Amino acid sequence: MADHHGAVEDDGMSPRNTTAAESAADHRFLEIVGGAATAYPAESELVRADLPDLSAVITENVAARRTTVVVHDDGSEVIVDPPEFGKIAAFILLVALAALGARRAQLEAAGNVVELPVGARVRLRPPSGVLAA
Amino acid sequence: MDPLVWFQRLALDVRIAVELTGRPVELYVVRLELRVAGAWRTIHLFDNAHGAHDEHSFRGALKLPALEFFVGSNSEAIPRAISLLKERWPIIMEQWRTTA
Repeated sequence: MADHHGAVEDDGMSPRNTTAAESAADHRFLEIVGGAATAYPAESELVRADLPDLSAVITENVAARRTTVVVHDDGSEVIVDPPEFGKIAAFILLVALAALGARRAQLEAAGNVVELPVGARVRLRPPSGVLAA
Repeated sequence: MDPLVWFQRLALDVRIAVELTGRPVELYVVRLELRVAGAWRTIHLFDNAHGAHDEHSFRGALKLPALEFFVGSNSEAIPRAISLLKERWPIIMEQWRTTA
């Protein structure tokens, strides 16, 4: 086994400082990619909880109908799933939105408020790995 | 078989995308993506499309010739590629911007 990046100091690059949340996210990402963690939908995106633009990332992923896994420094997670719906459900959703005056649930992220569409789901995952609805 | 894709956001406009085909993994692509003018663009990648564990830099949209970055199994090469991108992404991004 060999690689040409073995001697990091030869690259002239010093290691970047990482936060605890970043380390936890890195660890979890490797577990997911390695197949050791299977509780996440395909195309999920991991993001560390202390990312300055966290709320923008969640908003963007909900709009793109992609699950966001927010990883905290203790390894706990907040999993934000986009709504799952087909054509009929989409119609019902539109009617419901009209009826409710587009009132939306909100999620606070990094000091900002993220508006979630009807049907979005937020799950909490403690460091132990037990998923809660 | 459709590949499985996972993302890790490094900054608002920077992410790593990992694409895996087969279980155990037969083909992989680990990409560093930068959002430019609203669209995600690959600016660096690692893959095994040609049998070896290759690393490709980009000059603008031009994918540069491969450099073998690792010798070993896929299961060892993939985390190695991810770690390399996490260590080096600010430098890679800066180099790409200055040469694009």
